[in-house]
Amino acid sequence: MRISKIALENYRQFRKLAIDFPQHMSSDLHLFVAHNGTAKTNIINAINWCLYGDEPYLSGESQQLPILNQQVMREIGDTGQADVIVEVYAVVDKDEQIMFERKCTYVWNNKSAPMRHEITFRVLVSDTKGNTQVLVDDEASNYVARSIPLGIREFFFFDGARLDNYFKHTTAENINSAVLKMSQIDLLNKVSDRLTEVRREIEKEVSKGNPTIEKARKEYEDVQNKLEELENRVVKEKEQVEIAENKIGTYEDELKSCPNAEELEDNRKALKSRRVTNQEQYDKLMSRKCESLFEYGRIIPLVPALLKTDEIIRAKHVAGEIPPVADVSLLDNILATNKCEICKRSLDSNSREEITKLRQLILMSSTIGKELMQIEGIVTITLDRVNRFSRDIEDISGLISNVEKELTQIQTNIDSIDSQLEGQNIERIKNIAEERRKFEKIRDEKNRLIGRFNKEIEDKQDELKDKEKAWDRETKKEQALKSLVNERDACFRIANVLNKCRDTILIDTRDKIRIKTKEIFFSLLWKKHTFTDVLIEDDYRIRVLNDLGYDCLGSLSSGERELLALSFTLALHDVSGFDSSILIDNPVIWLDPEHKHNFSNALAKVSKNKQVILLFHTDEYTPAISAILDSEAATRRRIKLTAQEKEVVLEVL
Amino acid sequence: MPNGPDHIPDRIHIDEEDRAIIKTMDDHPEADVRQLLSTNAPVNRSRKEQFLYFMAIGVAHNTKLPIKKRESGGFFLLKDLKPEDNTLIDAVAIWHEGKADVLSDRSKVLEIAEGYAHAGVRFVADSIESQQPGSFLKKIEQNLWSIYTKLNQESNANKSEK
Repeated sequence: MRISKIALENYRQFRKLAIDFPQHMSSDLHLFVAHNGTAKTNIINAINWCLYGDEPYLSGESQQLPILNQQVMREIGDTGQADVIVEVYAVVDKDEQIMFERKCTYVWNNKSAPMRHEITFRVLVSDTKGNTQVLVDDEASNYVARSIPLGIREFFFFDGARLDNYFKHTTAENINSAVLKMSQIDLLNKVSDRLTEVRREIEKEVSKGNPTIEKARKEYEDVQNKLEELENRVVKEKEQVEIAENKIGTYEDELKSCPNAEELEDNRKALKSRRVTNQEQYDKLMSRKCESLFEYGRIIPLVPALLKTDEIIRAKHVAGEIPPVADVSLLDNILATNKCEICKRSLDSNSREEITKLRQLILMSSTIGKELMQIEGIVTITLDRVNRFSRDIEDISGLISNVEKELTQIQTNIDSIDSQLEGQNIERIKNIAEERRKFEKIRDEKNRLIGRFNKEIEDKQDELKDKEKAWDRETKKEQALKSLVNERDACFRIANVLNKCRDTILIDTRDKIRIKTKEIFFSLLWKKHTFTDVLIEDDYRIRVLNDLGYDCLGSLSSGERELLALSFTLALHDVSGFDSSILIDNPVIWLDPEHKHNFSNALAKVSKNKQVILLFHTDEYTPAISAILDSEAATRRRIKLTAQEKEVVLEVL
Repeated sequence: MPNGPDHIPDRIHIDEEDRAIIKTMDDHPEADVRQLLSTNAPVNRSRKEQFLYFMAIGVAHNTKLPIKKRESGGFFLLKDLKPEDNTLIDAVAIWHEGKADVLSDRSKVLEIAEGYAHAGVRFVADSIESQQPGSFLKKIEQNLWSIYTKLNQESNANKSEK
């Protein structure tokens, strides 16, 4: 990239100025000569401000001043606005036209000093077909970073003192850093650093691990083990059932030829129990019957007597011979008062005796009457009761007969059982039956267990599915974790590869820089036979060997030192691929006259292949320098102030 | 014991010899006998019941035996008799005398009852002795049925005459 034009408007001392950088023949050397205070160095600042937004070479006085041209500030007064604009035009590969433009707007709002209102930066990129792409803000900054990164600008636009002090103040570490930046190896470092960051982030995740997977796995295995255990138990229980079934079958075969002794025994026991019950019932019935026979035995034989009595009493009724019930209270009163109630005469002894006899006769007659009536009633009841004899006795006899029949049947059954069991080994049959019952119990118990286990198996199978899903989830997490581990390892390996690449590139770059530095140095050097080699150590300490093979860097003249620094810088340009212009302020000011001459020649040679812009102080630009450079320069201009010293102007030399 | 017209009896007597006979019935080896007549548990017949039963058996055989010697102390007290018991005794007396007037002589009534009971004891004792073991109750039942059947026949005959 070479600069084709710089346009300045209201930038510090520059009111409005355009500086073209045309090539002349093969020369691309551009010379500026200026006195102190004519804003020579601000040309470098303007380029820096345009491209990067800062002014690294600003003098102490200027740092206090606004970037806006002071004359403009005076002209605007208290209100209004003004723009500071710096435009840098460049050409890339002779085809692409680029314009970098930074603008800062100042506004007055009735204040003594203007306020910086807005800064804009844009890049216009035009191709050969006239298509222009406008880049702003970050895109514009990125474009600059791709052209001349901020970190290496000091290798392109710098003060000549830099060359003089290059090996005085610059440490090997700084050179190393510069080489890294220039050779773009820092990109590898950045990638490596980023990989390290990513790896550490991954390691954080990995270090957390997946503690739940072990738990999920264990839970799954526990359920699975339990399930297997249950299934094994079912198998074992089924084996037991089969054994029990076989045993039962064996015992049943044995019992087929035998009477069912136990059942018969049970039946006999039941029959005996029934017999006892029936016997008790029979005894009760017999007792009842006996009681009835006794009761009826007391009255049935008396029926003729009862009938006769009833007949006599009835006859007396008919004949009116049953005396009525008489009231003897009148007689009782007479006897008590000893006076007749009727004639009112006192009783004498005879009368009293007669009344007493009368009273007794009446009472006796009355008593007999009552007795006869009572007898008549009871006789009637008793005869009625006799009539129930037939039914009562037949009923109870019927019941007794039934019980007797039942007792007979029971006895018949008992006899039958006895005959069946006769001659059998009852004990053995009972033992076999007992054994069969025992195995039936075992079989039933085992079947119950199998049923319970099968239910548990169903539950466990459901639980196992859940646990399997949970484990599956955790396994996927684990796989993700393993993937992270792989990524971490990959980061580590890639970082290693990058570091190796970086080291290789560094060595290669250092070697290229060394070769190019040596080539440039020796091509520009005026003492061709004093030095034999230029070496760059691993730590980028530069050594210059004399013909005896000793490092003679410390004994180089100032011109030789600057030439070595310039060679190194140009080698960096070449190796880095950032082939941009080189702009040097006060390029030879620190050199003695002899070396000014030699170094100027070297710069003239450099300008054959690269745009070189040199800003000379008037005293620095001696006739000897002028004699060397003028004929090589494409442009020669003087920077000066107008008569009123308000504005910088250029004068072509 | 006074037995004049002014004397009012208070108990029933049996013949002195009947006491031992009745005692054998109380403890008889035949269950049927004990079941029917024993004053021991579990049957627990009262003496009044025994007396009335023997009286009925005596009437059934239409036999009244005079008591040779009354047992001292009596068989049971008259106060134990209920009206229906007295009615049976009165009916036997009326039937025996053929008239109701006998009731005015309580001693006579009781003497008639005791005479039939005395005969009854002997008939029962003879029956127990004459029966095969286990057939006593059956004999009693047969006799009852026999009497009952005969009474029914007479009753039916009387009804048809009327």
